[in-house]
Amino acid sequence: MPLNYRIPYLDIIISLSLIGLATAVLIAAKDIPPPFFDPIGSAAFPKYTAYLIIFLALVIGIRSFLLSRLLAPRSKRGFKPEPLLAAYTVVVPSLYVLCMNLEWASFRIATTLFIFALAGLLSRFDKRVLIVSAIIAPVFGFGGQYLLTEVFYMDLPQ
Amino acid sequence: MEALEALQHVLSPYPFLWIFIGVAGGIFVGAIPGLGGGMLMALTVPLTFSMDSTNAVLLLMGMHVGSVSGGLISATLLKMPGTPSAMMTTFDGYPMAQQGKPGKALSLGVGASLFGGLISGIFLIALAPPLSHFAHKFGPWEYFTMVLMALVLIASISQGSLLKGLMSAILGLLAAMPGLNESDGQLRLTFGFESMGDGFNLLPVLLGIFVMSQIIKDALEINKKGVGIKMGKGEGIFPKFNEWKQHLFNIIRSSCIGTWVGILPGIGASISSMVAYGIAKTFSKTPRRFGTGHDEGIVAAESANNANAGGALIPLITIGIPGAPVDAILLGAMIMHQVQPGPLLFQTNGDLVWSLMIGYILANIIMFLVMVFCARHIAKIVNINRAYLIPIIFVFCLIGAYASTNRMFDVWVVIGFGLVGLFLDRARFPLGPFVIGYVLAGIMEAELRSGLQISEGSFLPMITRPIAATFTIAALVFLAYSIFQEWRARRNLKPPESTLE
Repeated sequence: MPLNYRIPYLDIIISLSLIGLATAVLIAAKDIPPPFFDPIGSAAFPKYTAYLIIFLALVIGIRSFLLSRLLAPRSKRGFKPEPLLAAYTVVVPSLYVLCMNLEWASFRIATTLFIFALAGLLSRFDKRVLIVSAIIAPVFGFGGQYLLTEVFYMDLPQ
Repeated sequence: MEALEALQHVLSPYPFLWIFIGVAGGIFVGAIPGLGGGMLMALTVPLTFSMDSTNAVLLLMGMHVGSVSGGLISATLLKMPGTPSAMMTTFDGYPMAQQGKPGKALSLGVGASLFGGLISGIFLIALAPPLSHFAHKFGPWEYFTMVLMALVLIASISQGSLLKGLMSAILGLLAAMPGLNESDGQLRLTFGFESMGDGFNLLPVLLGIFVMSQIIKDALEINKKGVGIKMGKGEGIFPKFNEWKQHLFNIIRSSCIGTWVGILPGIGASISSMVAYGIAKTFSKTPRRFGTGHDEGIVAAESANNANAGGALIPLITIGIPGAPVDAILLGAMIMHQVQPGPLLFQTNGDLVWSLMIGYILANIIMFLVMVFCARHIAKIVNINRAYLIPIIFVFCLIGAYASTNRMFDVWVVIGFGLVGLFLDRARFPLGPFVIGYVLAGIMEAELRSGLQISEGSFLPMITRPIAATFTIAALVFLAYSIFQEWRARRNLKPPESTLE
């Protein structure tokens, strides 16, 4: 296959994942009790939605594969994408949430560290960003906690 | 009388201040590429919990109006639309700015935005009350078929393929199903997790789809920067009377298109500006100048996208169906403030509806003034380093998701739906149908079940009741037309030359 064929792998992966999800929904829908007072009950909507998902996912997946040779090669972007930075944007917030979820750190401490760390990673430890975020981070961590709890009366993870 | 009372209310200090803050914040955020009105509104909803419901709605509506207009600044000066709705503005705004006339490009856009907003505001006030009255005739089958039509319509009109649009809408429906089913109190699709008993709450899902997916995308595209054009010191933005007069017909036509597209359930401002731009080009005496910095292109795109915001409020107020994906946030905020949009809204919360409608017109006037006096200064900071913004935005996501229920599970939902949104976006599944599907799933199921109870299990009322039959036929026509269009497009698609060798 020539290099300029663009097989839409993402479409195919998503289609397969959705078929998996729909199968899980169908299995879970089996446990829902039958209807008491209306003709369709609580299981009908999830079941038919799952059937529709399977049908559409099959069509999208098969069509993507068959039509891949008709698609133009991926056009050049005017910038370099940064998948590693995108990964940091998922991993670092997840660690931040986990810290508070497991009560390892309070909101103010975790937020201060999180803002400083993520800003540093995203800027590839640019000195200027590090200095500015060293000021912004505690303002949002400590100041944010005060403002949100004392002024807006909101609960924050302790 | 209610309109006068509402006018008096929105002109009183607090509501006026909230609209002003909303509009100014919306313009600022809308001007920064990668951020948008939806993001700002979703992040602001939790901060409104302690506010009066009318003021909260006015603040969010102001943000919507401001963000649609703010996108004009970066579209014109950076060739990067601050919001998707400003995409068409880049085609003529940026070339005009490159020709040394950034002030004129902005002034045309600002003037067109004002007129677009005002014209759709007039439509809003004229159409919402009678439509709401008409919607009183709706029973369960009418609601069910209308939601069905809305989902088919948004799936077929969204950018990308019809199949992906439909899939996105159905995934939105599925995302709303876990947890306690309000129709009969049954727990479903919890997969044995206790936290899933409440399902996926509205705010975390919106924050995930609108905000989290966007910040991951922003990090991925952190190197994407516009080539900035600076405005000359003496250059004014105030639109000239002669220019307005010259473009009056284009403004009125594009505003009507924007309003009409806005009224169609679920379709956003970007489609409005595309349609208006295309029609302006078709009817122009100088169509070849479009895309080279032509006045008419800027005027058409900007008046249509602002008019869309007003048009989209009509189905939201009268039948409780969001006119655009961003309006799903407004709908969610109303529900969180115990205000249920729909035909009864004029009776139950007449003061809020009238304040919203009058406030919408006021927001457009404030937008015009802020843009005229501050666009020059806002333009200086639109290229702000996203390394500062991304962590702060996530902190607001966490606060928003956690504050609504005090559960960390909801923060994980934000991250999860952020990834879902990112993958769908990368595979070109439109996110609009997902959000609309999620928001409307509850109504759709409840109304279908009520309808089936009344009809003793028969689906025939979908075609025997006149209004329901109209919606059903419309849904089928939209579906058939979209399939035909896609088939025609595929037939005309030829393999690239290299693959034929």
